[in-house]
Formats: sequence, structure tokens, C-alpha cells
Amino acid sequence: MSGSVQSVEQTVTAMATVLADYLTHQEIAQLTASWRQHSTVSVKMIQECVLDATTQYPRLRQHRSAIRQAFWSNALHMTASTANEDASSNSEGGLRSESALVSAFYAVMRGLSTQLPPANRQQVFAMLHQMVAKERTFKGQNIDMMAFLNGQRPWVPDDVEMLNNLVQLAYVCVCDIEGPVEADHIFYHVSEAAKAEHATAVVQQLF
Amino acid sequence: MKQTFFGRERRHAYSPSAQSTPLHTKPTMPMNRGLQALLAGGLWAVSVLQAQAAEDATLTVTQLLEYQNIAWIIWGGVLVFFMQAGFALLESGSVRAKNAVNVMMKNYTDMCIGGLSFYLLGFGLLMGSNDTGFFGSDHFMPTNLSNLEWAILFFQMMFAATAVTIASGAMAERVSFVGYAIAACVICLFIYPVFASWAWGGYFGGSGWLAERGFIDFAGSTVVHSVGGWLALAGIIVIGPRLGRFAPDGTPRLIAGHNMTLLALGGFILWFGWFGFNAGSTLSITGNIGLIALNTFMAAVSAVVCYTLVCFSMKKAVMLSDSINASLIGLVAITAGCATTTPLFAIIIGAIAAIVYILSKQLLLKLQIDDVVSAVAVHGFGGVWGTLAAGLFYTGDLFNMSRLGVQALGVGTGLIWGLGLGLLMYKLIDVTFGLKASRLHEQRGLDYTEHAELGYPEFQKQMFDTKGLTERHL
Repeated sequence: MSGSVQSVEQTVTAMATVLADYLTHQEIAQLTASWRQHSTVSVKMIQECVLDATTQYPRLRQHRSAIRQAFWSNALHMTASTANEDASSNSEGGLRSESALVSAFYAVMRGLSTQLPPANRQQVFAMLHQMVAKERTFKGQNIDMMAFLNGQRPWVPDDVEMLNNLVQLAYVCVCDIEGPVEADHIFYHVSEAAKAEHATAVVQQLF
Repeated sequence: MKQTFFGRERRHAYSPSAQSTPLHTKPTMPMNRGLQALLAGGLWAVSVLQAQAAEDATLTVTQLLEYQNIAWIIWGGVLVFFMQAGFALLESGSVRAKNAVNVMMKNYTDMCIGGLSFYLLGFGLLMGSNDTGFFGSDHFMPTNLSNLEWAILFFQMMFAATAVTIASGAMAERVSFVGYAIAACVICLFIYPVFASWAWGGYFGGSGWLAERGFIDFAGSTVVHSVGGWLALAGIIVIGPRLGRFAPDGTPRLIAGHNMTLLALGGFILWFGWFGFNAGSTLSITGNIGLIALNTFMAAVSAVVCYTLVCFSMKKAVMLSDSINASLIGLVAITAGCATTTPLFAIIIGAIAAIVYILSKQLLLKLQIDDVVSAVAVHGFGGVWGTLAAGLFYTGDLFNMSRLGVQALGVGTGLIWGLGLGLLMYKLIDVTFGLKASRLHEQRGLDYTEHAELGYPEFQKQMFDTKGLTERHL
């Protein structure tokens, strides 16, 4: 079972627990069956789940705010624990294999860390970490961008759009700190270094 | 129409059949008297017809002048059209290589969309019967005009396209192509023609409310340039600066253009076209076109010299891009008063315009407004100064404060109209179609993301896959 599917399953289970206060067991089963079709936990997924529940069962509308809040806290909790498990399994040299895309992403982040001038490295990654935390696309995900500074490989979603989004945010941060001309230069070298280690087609998906 | 009539008669008079009439041929066979009389009568009739045709083919001085004026207006219009190439080169040279195609495309397209929109609605709003003083109400999509009126329509269409294209450079490198194209349409359809009708309207009856108050804007310092500049300002306020243009502490960063030669060539072409812009605005070859052309030139050269002197005095580098912009602001500034001032005042207007450029550029940077080609400083602020100067340095009535008041009224109205409507329009486009390019597009460059064409494919550093480019082509 992949990390994403696992986190979807856990999140849906947690949301079912929230709904137990308002709906019957059968009604919850009907709702959660369709929710399990999602591939990753995302803002869109949570929003769709809330909308789905309140549309199918109008009596939930008065509790919409409470349900949404409970969904979010559960989703965040689940993702955080999944990330911690992933991190510990990685650090223990676990058997979990990472996809070529995630591997290429790690190479890109490593390259970025190397290419940045030491004086600005900390600032860029701190800014990136903050942006990722604020960005709606990554709500529900717990990505520790600061970990890249220490050469670690924190958990990241195995999703091309999300990883591409992370690289875009990194570009924005480098533009802010180093300037756009320098950013283009740095990113070019980062991509070339990543292409030397990984398949070009995979690396190009990230930029 | 007159020209058609002239052409038909001319063709008749010099037609091969007329010339081959055997006037001098003697009969070789004996003829009777009746036949001789018939021949003589025929010869007489032919000679009378020929004389009449020759008389008809002779132009009156009035007709000749009208044809010359039409040719002059068309020539002026063609020069103004050529300014589009100048804008395109200047803007393209000012952006990074990854956006060169996009800038060219915008310049090419806004002219086409603008021209079409202006024909459909703009010309009627600008030149149609203006009884209210606020907009023209007829001659939309005209199909039946005189030759002179067609020429004026063509000339005004080129002006409208110029007003639109000013915003292109300011918003370069981070504006979506579709959003920009929609804005170009709205500007030529409504925003530009309505304002222009206030100063120049009423060709087919009535007049604009600003013109009635004595507002002077000979070739469009405010009507074309300021309004274009304020629209550009509205656009860049809505879409914000390019990524990394300003450091987190607000310090501006230089994002150098990819080709200074293109930029300079664009400057030269704009300058060249400006002679058509200003001298063509007489709409008559008998006007004071010599003075206008000279004033146009003097203001531009004096602005560049003044900018250079300021740089020397402040121990700063004399930059090519700023020198070109100085010449352009000199040209913008003289546009309003080029027909009503003297070369000496043209020099003063140009020199002060250079100072206006330096100050307004600094002001915009302080406000963290990212104007790629300094279009707001050159066209917006330059137009303001030029319009006020046209009132101040009016030949025979210098420093008339009441005239200056009218000029200030026109300038203020242009600012409110251009900036106000511009903000509204761009905001609406932004929330509906999208105006700001996404950060992915900005990162990759708009050449690839918007057009699937690269400006310099052999030299550009590509991080992403460009093999699929042709799949996106028609």
C-alpha cells in the first residue's frame, strides 16, 4: 500500500468517526466508499468531502463548520503521523522504495542547496518552508522543507503536480532572495545536475 | 467619387482607341462628296470630344491639394504603423530571451485586434456626430465615406493601435496573452475613442467638451500617450511586479533585457515614425509641417542631451536604455504642442521632459511598481508635461494661466479616465479570464507556455521538455 493510499484510508476513517455523531452507520458507509477513490489527501479532497456530506444529507448543514474543522484536524493529524513513520523508516534504512520522481525531486533539492550561496541558503529554505505551510495546495500535507538543509530526505507526496509546485515555490523564493536572473541560472545548473543522476524526462517534469 | 471620376476620364483621354484615331490619314481611294462630308463631320466630333476630355482631365488646384493631403495622411499613417515595429523591437529587446516571442506576438496581435475594434465601434465613437460632447453617435463600421475620410479613418486607426501597444511593454513578462488581447480590444473599442472624442471628436458634426474649452493636444500627448501610459499603470498595478523584481526589503533589482541592439533599433524606428505621428496630424500638406518636424526632432535631441548632462553631473553611468527613453519622452512631450510652439521652446520642453523621466522612474521604483520599459514614465508622465507645456509655450500667447488651467483639466481627466477605467477593466479581466501569468509560466517563459515557439532555440537554456512543442502547433 503506497503512502498516499494509506493516508487517504486513514483520513477517511478519521472523517467517518467525526460523522458518527450525525449520521447512521449505513449512511457513513455510503459516503466514505466514494471518498476512498481519492488518490491523495488534499484541500480539494477535504472540500469535496464536506460538500458531498452536506449535499446528500442537508440536515448536516447546520453543523458544516464543526464538521469541516474536525475533518481538517484529523487530516492534519493523520498526515503528520504518516510523515513521521516515513521519516523513521527512512532513517532506519527501511525497505520502503521511493519512486523515480521522488528520487529526482530529492536530487533537485540537494542540487539547489549546493548551488545556493551559503549565506542565503538558510533564508531560502526557511522562506520555502513558510510558503509551503501557507500554500493551499499543500494543506493537509506535512512537508518539512527545512530538513533539506541538513541533507535529509523528508517525506514528500509522490505526485508530479505537487512536486512541480514545490519546485515552483522554490523558484519564487530564489527569485526573491537571489534575484530572477540569478534564479534562472541556479535552476538551470540544478536541473543539469539532476539530469546527470536521473532520467531527463523525469527531471523535466519537475521544472 | 472624384478620384474615380478623374481616373475614368483620364483613361478615356489617353485610351489606345482615342490615340489611334486616324486624324492625319488621307483617303487613298476616290470618294464621293457625301462620304467626304461624313468623314469631316466625324473628325470634327472626335476632336471636340478629345478637347472636352482633356479639359475634364485637368485638375483644379483644390482637387490637387486634396489628393496631396490624402497622400500625406496615408504616408503619416504608414509611418505611425511602422512605429508598431519600433515598439515591438524596443520591448522585445528589453525583456529576457525567454519572453521575446511573447512580446512580439502581443505587439502584432494588439494592432490587429485594435484595428478591427476601432473600425467596428471606435471610429464612430471618436469621429461620429458628437452632439453631447462626450462621444460620437454615428459612422460605426462605415462603408460609404469620401476618399479623404477613408484616409482619416486609416490614420486614426493607427493612433488607436499606438495607444493600445503602450501597455504591452509595461506589462511584459508576466501577463497572459488572452487577458492582454481582451484588454486591447476593450481599449480600442471604447476607452481610447471616447476620450479622444473629447479632444478631437466631431468630425461629422459637433465637438468634444474638452475641445470646446480650448484644450490643445495637437497630436496626442494626453489623448494617445498619457491615456496609454495610465492604462499601462493600471495593468501593472493589477498584475504586480515580476518575480524577484524587488528584494524582500523593497530594493529594486535590475532584470536586464536580452538584446540592447534591438532596443536601440526600436528607439530609432519609433523616432522615425514620430515624424509621421506629429507632422501627419496636420491632415494637410499645406500646414506647418516643416516647423512640426523640426520641433519634434529638437525636443527629442534636447531630452537626450539633458539626460546625459544630468548623468555626468551626478557621476552616474549614461545608459543606452535610458537615453532611448529620454528621446522618447522628449517626443511624447512635444507631441501636444509641436504645431503651436517654436523650436526654442521645443528644446526647453525636451530638456524638462528628461528631468520628468528621471524623477518619475525613481518614483515608480520607490512605489515598487515594475514597469519593464518605463512606459508609464515616458508616456504617462511625459504626456502630462507635454500637454501642460503646450499651454505654457503657445506661440503668441505665452504663459497664459487660463489656458494652462484648461490643459490641466485635460491632463486630470485623462488620468482619471485612463487609470480608473484601466483598473476596472484589468481587474475584471483578471477575475474572469485571468490576466497574470502563473508562476510556472513566468518561470518557464511565456514563449514556451503561451506560444510553443522559442525566440532563440539554439541558445536558450531549457530545464523542461521542449520536444513536444510541435504537438501544440496547428
